Amino acid sequence: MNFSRISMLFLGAFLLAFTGCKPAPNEQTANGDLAVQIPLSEVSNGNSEYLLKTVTLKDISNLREVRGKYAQFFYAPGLVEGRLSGGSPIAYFAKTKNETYIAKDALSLQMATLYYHMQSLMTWAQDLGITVKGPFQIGLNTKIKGDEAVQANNAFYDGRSKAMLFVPYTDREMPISVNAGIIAHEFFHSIFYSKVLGPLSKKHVTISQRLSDENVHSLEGWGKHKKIAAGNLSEVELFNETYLRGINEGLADFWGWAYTDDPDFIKWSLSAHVKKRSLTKPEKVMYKTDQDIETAIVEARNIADDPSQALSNFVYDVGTPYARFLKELVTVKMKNEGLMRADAKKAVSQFVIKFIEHLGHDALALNKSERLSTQSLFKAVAEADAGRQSQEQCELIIQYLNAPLQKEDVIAAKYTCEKEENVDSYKVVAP
Amino acid sequence: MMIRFLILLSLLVSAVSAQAQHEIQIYAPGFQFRYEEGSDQSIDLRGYSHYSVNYMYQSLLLGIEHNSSQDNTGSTSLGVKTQMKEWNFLAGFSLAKMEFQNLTPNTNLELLIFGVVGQTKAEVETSLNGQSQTDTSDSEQVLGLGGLVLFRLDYFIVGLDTRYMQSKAYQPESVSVSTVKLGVNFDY
Repeated sequence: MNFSRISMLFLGAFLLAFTGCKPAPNEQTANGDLAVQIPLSEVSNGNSEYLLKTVTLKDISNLREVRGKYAQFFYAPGLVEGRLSGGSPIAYFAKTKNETYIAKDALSLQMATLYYHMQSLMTWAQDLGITVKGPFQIGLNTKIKGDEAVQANNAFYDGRSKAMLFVPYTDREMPISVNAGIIAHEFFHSIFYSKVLGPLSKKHVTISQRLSDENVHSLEGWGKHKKIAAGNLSEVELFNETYLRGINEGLADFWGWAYTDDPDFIKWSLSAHVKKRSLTKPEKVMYKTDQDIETAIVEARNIADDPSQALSNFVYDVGTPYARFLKELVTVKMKNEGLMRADAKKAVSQFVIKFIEHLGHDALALNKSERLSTQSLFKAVAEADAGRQSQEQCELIIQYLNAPLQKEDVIAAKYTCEKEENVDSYKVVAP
Repeated sequence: MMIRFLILLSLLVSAVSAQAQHEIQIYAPGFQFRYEEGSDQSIDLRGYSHYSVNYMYQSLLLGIEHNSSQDNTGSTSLGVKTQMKEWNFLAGFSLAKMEFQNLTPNTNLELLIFGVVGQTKAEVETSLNGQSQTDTSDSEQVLGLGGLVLFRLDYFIVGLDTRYMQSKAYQPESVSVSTVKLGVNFDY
């Protein structure tokens, strides 16, 4: 046997081996409960930081699209008949020896992180008695026409498509789509929409569309929707709209804090906004009163054709104090009711859900000349639990209720705390 | 894996070196192009760097190759750098060889078919707010089959190959691969 014949035999055997081998199924089709490494926030000794941690993504039906019970992703989505349309982004993972999936690119990392937070937030919502139907639809790299300010580094919840939308992130900070606090913030908007804005949209179409998220009107594929005429709302309607937008943002910031325990969760992605929206305890209690909102509306009408648009930043000034108040309420409940932090957060979060359910009913019942009140949240806390509360909680409430009365040009009687007879509880007494 | 290939290669070389003329081909660098999916969410040609050493005895080719690529995505605060590293063992057979007699010695064109078997793995470096962590994937098997054209001009050699390769680490699992490589060859 010469060498050529040997080599032919060798090659033949090699080819036979090759054709007989078929690689195992691609790891990207993995499903079920999967261990994945993602960036997660951690707060210890009052300091927050993001660390890479291994978590379990549950009920994944297709890892290649990170699709499952809790989330479904769309890449640069359009909108067809009220629903997101388009393909899913493709995620790439490397599987390590200890069966952990590591994202091979930034988009895959964002998808895994979002899935995990949707899983946690939906589980938390269920624990609070709210049913959120999954999978939650999420648009990534969403392209927005028009206003340049919202084309990058932003996220929205759109009530009509019931989807969370992320536009491209171009800053050098941490992308919004992995910021746990901002994701929880947007998630809260979905609850607010289902309790307040959704029902309201059936009665006041124009108001609810503006409240939903005015920016998404310029999304590609959204051109068919009715363009809202600018400046066609009455003073009262504009007041109610501004208040609802504000309290929606404020309660959403509370949700972001409650989920992460980080009062400055926004700083990781939008550090320029942290001073204005930090939930650390303020030295002096301040919030936007009915009169402040009226003044802002007058100014907005003077400077812009679309006052709603002009008030887009102002609504955060309205909302942030509510978030600070609720955060402080958690601390007070821990201290005075002997609750663990998680239980105190749960109690306040459950209160928030009840509050927005009432807010939804109140907003629906309004006639054209009636206004909502900027003090309704504080009064609702004062009236909860048959109006009985600890002294510290009572003092916190009246601190906020009296804040507008403490302005130098106002001389008025103030809210006080009154101890109830024979019980160790206090009631807020109106002036 | 690489050491095992080198041992196998040296055994084969030593086994036949006593009998006849042999050729060593050293290629560095080479460029490989794969039509595959990537982090830009499209299927496109992706560039790989390629290094290889081949041994030829008469019509038989044996060799090893190393292919690698790197992909950087994300921002300074959250970035992902993925390096794909692959070692393959090649075995091929010459189908035809055309000598150019009137030119310099050892000037010819040769057509081969070859098979590839090897392993690939990914090293993923995730950087988060200034701190980074590197994870390495499990190695996955690579199989391939293709054709190779060699053009020799004295000591210089140019190789052009096209092949189909399969691995469950690839996206998609089967990819079309083309390689251009420049190198030197030695007869002994």
